[in-house]
Amino acid sequence: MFEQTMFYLFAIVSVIAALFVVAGKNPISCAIALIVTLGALAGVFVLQEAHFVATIQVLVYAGAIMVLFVFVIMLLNLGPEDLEKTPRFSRLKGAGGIFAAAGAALLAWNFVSYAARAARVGPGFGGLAQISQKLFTEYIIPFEAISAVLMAAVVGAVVIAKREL
Amino acid sequence: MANEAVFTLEPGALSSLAPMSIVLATAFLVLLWDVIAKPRDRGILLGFSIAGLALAAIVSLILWSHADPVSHTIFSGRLAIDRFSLFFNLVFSVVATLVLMISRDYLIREQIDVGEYYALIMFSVFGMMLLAAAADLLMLFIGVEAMSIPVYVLVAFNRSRIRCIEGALKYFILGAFATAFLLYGIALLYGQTGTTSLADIHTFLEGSSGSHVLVPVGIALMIVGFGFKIGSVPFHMWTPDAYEGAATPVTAIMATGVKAAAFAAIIRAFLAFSPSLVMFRVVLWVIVALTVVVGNIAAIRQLNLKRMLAYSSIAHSGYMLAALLAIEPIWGPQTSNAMSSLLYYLLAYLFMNIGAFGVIVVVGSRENEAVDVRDWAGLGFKYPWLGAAMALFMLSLGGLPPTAGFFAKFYLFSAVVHAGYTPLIILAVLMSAASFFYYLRVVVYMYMQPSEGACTPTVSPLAAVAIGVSALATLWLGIAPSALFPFLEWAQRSVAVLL
Repeated sequence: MFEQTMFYLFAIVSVIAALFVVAGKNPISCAIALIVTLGALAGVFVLQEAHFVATIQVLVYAGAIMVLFVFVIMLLNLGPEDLEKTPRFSRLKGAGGIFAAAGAALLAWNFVSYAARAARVGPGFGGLAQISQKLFTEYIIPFEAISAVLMAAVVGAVVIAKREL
Repeated sequence: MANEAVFTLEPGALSSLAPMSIVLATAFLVLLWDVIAKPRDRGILLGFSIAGLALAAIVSLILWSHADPVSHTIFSGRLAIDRFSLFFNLVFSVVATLVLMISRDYLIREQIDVGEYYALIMFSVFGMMLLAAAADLLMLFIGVEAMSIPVYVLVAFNRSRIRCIEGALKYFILGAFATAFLLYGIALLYGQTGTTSLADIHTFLEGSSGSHVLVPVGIALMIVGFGFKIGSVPFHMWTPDAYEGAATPVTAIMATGVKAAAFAAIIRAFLAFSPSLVMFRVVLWVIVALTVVVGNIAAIRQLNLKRMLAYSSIAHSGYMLAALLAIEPIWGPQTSNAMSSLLYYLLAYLFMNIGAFGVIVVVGSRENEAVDVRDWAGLGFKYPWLGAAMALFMLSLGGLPPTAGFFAKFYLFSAVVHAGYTPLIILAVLMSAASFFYYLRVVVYMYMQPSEGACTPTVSPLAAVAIGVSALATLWLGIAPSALFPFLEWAQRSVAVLL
């Protein structure tokens, strides 16, 4: 019962926030609304016991990618008069909405028609324990190598961004 | 958890990582030491880097002498530390050492002598070693990134020159596209075969009837990705700009180390794909023909030495790619010959290119980079040793006996002719004859034009040693080529057993 209540809570919040992202006037508040959507989705993932996906959702999407969005919005630096000119709804948004609705309908139809013979995942599937176990055994070398790549990338970014060498 | 799997490392797995760990550790040491070192004492960073590379080379040699003739994979099949990868570890260590030796003067001259340069070179070498040892598409991808990211930054390193930024941007954006192609190809192959391990993919392809649509698409996308990395036509557009824009020592490592590592990965991947490679023979044939023709014809027009060497490196990629045509579905003497001649070609190509770039570095100065061939007029008489070295490198690149370039071409071309591609090799030979036009132009300017005194070379002992070693290696590989063959074939056979 509790789970269901929470699910509907997160779902409604994410849908309302998503609608605001599309229909909002001020780009910054749209971006904030997108964070709310992504956060609420992370909550849905937690309810599905996909804790790892939820964490990554918050860290990567609500964190890093949103910073990039806000950064781009600020770079564009649109004034109030620019914002007044853009209509709340446009043909492009309408087309996007229709595609999204069609996609959602297809997905829902798939869920309903395949629900009976869906493969069941084992307990703890996609959880932190299983992922870390894979990461530190079978995938230890790629994991370590990637960290070296990230280190090189950080050093490179500093070199490129420094005012003078 | 109840279903906890027992995980054990393969025996000797950690110690066989020693060469790449040493290189990585050196990169960190250089970064840390750079913080406490005084700006004037950056020479010690060069010392650290060269010491690290030398240690990695020695450890690679020791591992090589203890290595099984049979290749084993370690870390659940991710890496194969076999004679093949150890051979390449040795090559990368030597290449990076020579490049660092010619870098020092350049960096001081351009006032960009900072510790990050050495660290980035070491990071890149780490990536190359990873790439040569990758027995798994996942590691192959990580290796490509680990090698490329530092090189993107190195190309942009000399930011006061606008050409540098332009070249770096082109290289970075096209490189990112290439990576995307490579990754997409890997994803499709994984989707069809259900594995990223090269050995398992080989087994899958051997057993499959050939009705899997995603396999050829995946391989084709990977060919595109690799094609970018080695600069083969039609994926070569970034090469001249990036080579010209980059600092000359960085160009040297792009033309040699990066290319060698990409070829190491290509060899491993193509041997794994060998059962399905038959359908790509036509594609490869066309790529080789285009690369050889476009590279050589475009180089003829270049009076800028760095652009000329860029196009020449495209042409050389074409010759080397031709060896891949000789891969048979099942490992046999034909494949073995072609692969060992390809390794020999790579080795010869590395030394003559580093030597040529080294001479360009020392001939240039801050005011005049001496990349215009007309500035080289009369250089051969004023600086006989430099002139002789450059002439040797040019003749070797063209493929004149008794230099390394001649025997490299001879072995490679005869291996491909044995595989039945005589018309293609006739084209390649004609084109390499045409290449003498632009290689000899440098020699003609150096020895047959009146001196204008446009260049004032300053040869430091370090650079002199690097150029001397390259020249000696170019000669030695040309005079005693057979001495290396058992070594190369050994390296090759260890890959064959992997499959």
